[in-house]
Amino acid sequence: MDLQQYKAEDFILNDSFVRYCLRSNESDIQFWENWLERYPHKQEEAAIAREWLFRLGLRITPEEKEAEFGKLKLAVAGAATPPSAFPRKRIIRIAAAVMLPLILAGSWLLSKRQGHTPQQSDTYTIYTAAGSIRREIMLADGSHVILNASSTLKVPHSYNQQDRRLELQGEALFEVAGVENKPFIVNSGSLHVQALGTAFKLRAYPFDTAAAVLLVNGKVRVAQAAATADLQPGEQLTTGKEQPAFRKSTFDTSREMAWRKGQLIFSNASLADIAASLEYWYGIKVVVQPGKYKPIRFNGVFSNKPLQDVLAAVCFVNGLSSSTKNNILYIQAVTK
Amino acid sequence: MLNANRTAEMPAGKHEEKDYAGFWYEMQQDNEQGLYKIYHELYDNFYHYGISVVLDKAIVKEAINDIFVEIWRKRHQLEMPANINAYLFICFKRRLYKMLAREQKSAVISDSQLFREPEEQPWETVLIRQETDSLVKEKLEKMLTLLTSRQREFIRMRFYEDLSIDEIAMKTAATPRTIYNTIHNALVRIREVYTDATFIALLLLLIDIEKNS
Repeated sequence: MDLQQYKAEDFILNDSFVRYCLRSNESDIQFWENWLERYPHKQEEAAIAREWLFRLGLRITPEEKEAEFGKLKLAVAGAATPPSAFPRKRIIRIAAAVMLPLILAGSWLLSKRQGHTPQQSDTYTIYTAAGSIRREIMLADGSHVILNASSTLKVPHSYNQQDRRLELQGEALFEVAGVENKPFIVNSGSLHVQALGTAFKLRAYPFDTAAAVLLVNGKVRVAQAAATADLQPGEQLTTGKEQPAFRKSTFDTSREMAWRKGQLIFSNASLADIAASLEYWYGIKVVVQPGKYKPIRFNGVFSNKPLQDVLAAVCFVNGLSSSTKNNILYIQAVTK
Repeated sequence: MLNANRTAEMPAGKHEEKDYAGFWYEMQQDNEQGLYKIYHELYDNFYHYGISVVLDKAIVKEAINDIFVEIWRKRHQLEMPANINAYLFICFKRRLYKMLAREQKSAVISDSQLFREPEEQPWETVLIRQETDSLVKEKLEKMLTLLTSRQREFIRMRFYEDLSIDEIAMKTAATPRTIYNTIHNALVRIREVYTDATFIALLLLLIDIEKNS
């Protein structure tokens, strides 16, 4: 059959084309890359075939894999010991046994020096709550962190040596172990929250313009640029993520207790309530598309369920549908 | 673990036994390229097994990266395993079950029985469940109902099990021509129901989701 007549279903049944998509044969890759360049009007059908191939075969696409490889490289770089002053790799190869004590001494010196400038030349462990599932982390000092969905916590390897500094993007609840003379500080952009033996929550998602600190018990000090404020238990402080705009209020303690337990509760919730809860809970921007909706009063309790499970239930019961695009969750009425 | 005999099993796939000792050695010499070479060699097989058990892309991806970071961290303590592929695969399975157990523990309160080793799910189930987007899920579900069981079987064998048409012919006693036509008709059928425009819109949506995930 003439390649010019090919549609997606023909491409996908061509073994050479499959090998090109899977990158398993160099000459097939060469051939199809050239061919598709020469006949750009066939690129669309070829793209469909390629999508089918990966989807039906339950394969990860090269693009996704590349993204994962990027993450691995980052993590490996983060896990590496601080580089010493000389090209260590080569020297080890020459005389591994002789070098070993020297390296130990060298890294000891480095760690000593690091103590004075913990933020520079530091390495991190990065925790990510992937997808819509929260994640619990126990830190070296016994402090406990619940990292909410779509959030990242950076823990320097020097954590708990001189002080306890963390970096957060997104939202997390911190239950801080009391350790004398080692202040516990969480940074998120320009915002700093310092605690001593406390449970508090910091929320600073990229899609929000505001950030919030909620104090469950104990005492925290919030600092941003030149502004500082102390919070009492039950108080929350909201501010701009870039610039300080402090505003204190009380928060709904029952909601936070449910959050702590991992329970997402809808009680007589309207569509706007549902959207607000999902946005709060999963750290994802939620947009309700304009349209005609039946009045919604939704009740339900979800225990540590991923977003897609909650969405499936909410949408099914209320005749809604949802879609995700560019990290925004869109909710719309099902059109009949 | 209940099914101890399964742990030595290799993930499906047609990769011949390879010797990764050289790469492992490079890694132990603090050269991360060795680690990366093993990663690229094994990734597809691990993913293939993981997605069929866990049905969640994000978890599978995270588990794979986790074990490779772990190996890198412990590179100086670890002795070179006799069979590197089998060793890493066992690490990967353990990590998957741990992550899965964590999720199930939080989801199921009443079930306090022993943790069961998850089983590989049928292709159709994985195909639908791996999607996080309900719209896409629905479309895929509809798409599958359009196909006959024979069409689904051949598609699964050709694209998921990665068998050639001749190999499928050997297994099923159908002629290669029949198999080719059956798959072709199935894809044409899918296309008829979803006009090109919808399908392309759907594909664009999928590509978008992948970029963002």
